[in-house]
Amino acid sequence: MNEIIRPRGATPPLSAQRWDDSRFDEERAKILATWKTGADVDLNDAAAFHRSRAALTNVARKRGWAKQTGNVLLQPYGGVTTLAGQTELIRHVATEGGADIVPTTIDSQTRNLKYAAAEEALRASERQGAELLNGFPIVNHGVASTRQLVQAVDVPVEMRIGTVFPQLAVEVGFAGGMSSVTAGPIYYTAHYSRDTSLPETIANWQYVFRLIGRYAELGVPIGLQIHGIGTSTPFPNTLLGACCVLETLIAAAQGARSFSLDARLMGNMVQDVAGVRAIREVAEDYVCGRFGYRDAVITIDRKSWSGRYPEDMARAYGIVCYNAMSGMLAGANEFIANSVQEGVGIPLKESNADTLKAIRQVVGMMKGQRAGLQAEPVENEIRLMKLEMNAILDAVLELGEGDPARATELGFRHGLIDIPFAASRHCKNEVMVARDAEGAVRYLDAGRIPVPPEVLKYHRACLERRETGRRRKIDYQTIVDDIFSISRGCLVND
Amino acid sequence: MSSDQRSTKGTIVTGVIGDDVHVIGIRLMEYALKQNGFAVVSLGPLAQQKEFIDAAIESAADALFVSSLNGHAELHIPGLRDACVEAGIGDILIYAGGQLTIRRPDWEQVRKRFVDELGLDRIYPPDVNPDTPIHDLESDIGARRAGKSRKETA
Repeated sequence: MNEIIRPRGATPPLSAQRWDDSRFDEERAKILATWKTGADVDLNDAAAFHRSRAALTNVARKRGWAKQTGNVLLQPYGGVTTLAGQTELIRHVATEGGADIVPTTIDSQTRNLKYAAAEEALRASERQGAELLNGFPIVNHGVASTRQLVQAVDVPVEMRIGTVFPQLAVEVGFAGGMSSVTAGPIYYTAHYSRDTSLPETIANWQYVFRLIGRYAELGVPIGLQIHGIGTSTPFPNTLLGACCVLETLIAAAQGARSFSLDARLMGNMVQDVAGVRAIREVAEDYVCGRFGYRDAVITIDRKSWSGRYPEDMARAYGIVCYNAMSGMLAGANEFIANSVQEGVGIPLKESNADTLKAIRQVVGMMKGQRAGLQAEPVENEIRLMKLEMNAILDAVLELGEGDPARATELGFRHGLIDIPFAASRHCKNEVMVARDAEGAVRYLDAGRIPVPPEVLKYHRACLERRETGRRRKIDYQTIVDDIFSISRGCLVND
Repeated sequence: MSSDQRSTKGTIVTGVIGDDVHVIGIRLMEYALKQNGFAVVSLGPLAQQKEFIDAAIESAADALFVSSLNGHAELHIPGLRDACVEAGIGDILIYAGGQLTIRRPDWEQVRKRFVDELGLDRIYPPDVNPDTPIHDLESDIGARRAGKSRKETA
């Protein structure tokens, strides 16, 4: 633990206000001194490097272009230890896979600021010709190597980093030519830490957002993929949407303007289609409308199921196909694609069998969901989701007196923002959900989340219909079954 | 650490012990405990023995609910009872649940190891219905309180 190098000092009170230049510059000097490669980061040189490259090698520009032209972008996941390995990976997914944006996932030593350990693993990987870390240790690679990496492809690179301490890694990534990063403070507090407080994580991410503001001032747009909140179990996308809005507002206040917001797959077509549309409408309303960031570009990415997958790759293709279908029906701008690890040279008979199994998975999940293609249930779900997101956002923003950073902290503290099965101690963990008869995620218990009575009543009625249909109450075993149902092949298995 | 008002039914410290981050089981257990009127002090994942004991003393808890799913309970539970004794809360109830061993030996063997040798009060497999430990907890706490008041009036 003594390897962790965390710059410390008096922290100003939590607020969404744009950081003073002096605060940012002081903090920046400390951050860049936490590892030797920080010395190679120069903002003007970095901006010049970004400007020297083709427009569509920039994530923010590419997302803006796709939104305008109606193109749908595809991005896989992926990150390995060595420069050679990561170069080969992004080249392959770009050329063979046709990826529009390529990822570089950062390893967990780096995410926990253990640069010395990452250095050791990186050198050992290079010596052994192996990939020993679970991602690309970007701080150890430094600016020059990262520039070599991004220049290996003609598509833009998004840095993927799940951490409450993003500052130095993001400095090196942006200086190295990466033009977007996955964010932000709510998601990584709830899901990637246990003790770290929201004020600490918000400040650490405000640093990143202000750095993006600095790049913008130098003519370089930098994107953000906003996660909001989420776990690997079923949860209402309304919670994700409300948290996406808060994270976006916190980032916009520091000068960020390009936002791709997640909408996560849960398995019910009505809800999966409605989620994308409702999150887009609410985000545009709050960010561009009520808070007045009219130049913000908001796109929605369809994230696939984040829970357990079938071990059988062929069945995983079924989830991939379903996910694609739901995103297309909803008008998603981008897919962040979980892989089924396609191999090469599969013999014909196995390949045939795999195809059938993939279809079977789609059939299992779509069973009884024909209503998903009807307008009325989708529009009703969108209306209820918007009502709920508005109620949550208005309640927490009132608590925070209009300040989205304080709204976030107070919202969690008082349980107005919550999620089932979070790792963090800062989540109340009072909310519990179950699937209804068609597999849509409904509140069994909304805890202290200010869900409007109309929405709650509808959710209860949906769950009661499932109980009546199967003549059995929703119990603890049902909640567990609903978590693992997708991996078992049927969304609802009564 | 989140805690609720102290309940007359009992206060329970919950957590996933050691190097384990699987929270689904313990979160369901916490939810069921609260639904049944218990106060819950939740440590969450990666909880160490000392955290369980400190939280138990601070909240005057009746029981520790120790969860483990990654098979490392054998590394992290030994010494817990002795540490409780040393801290002056030797008679606290300790229940454990989950996948406590890496392999899946006969349940009686697991019980012998964790209850007879390591001094836990009760253990449960990962698929137990939360109502079962809650029912046991109610009768264990009831028996202890009855025992105590008999001693006090004697």
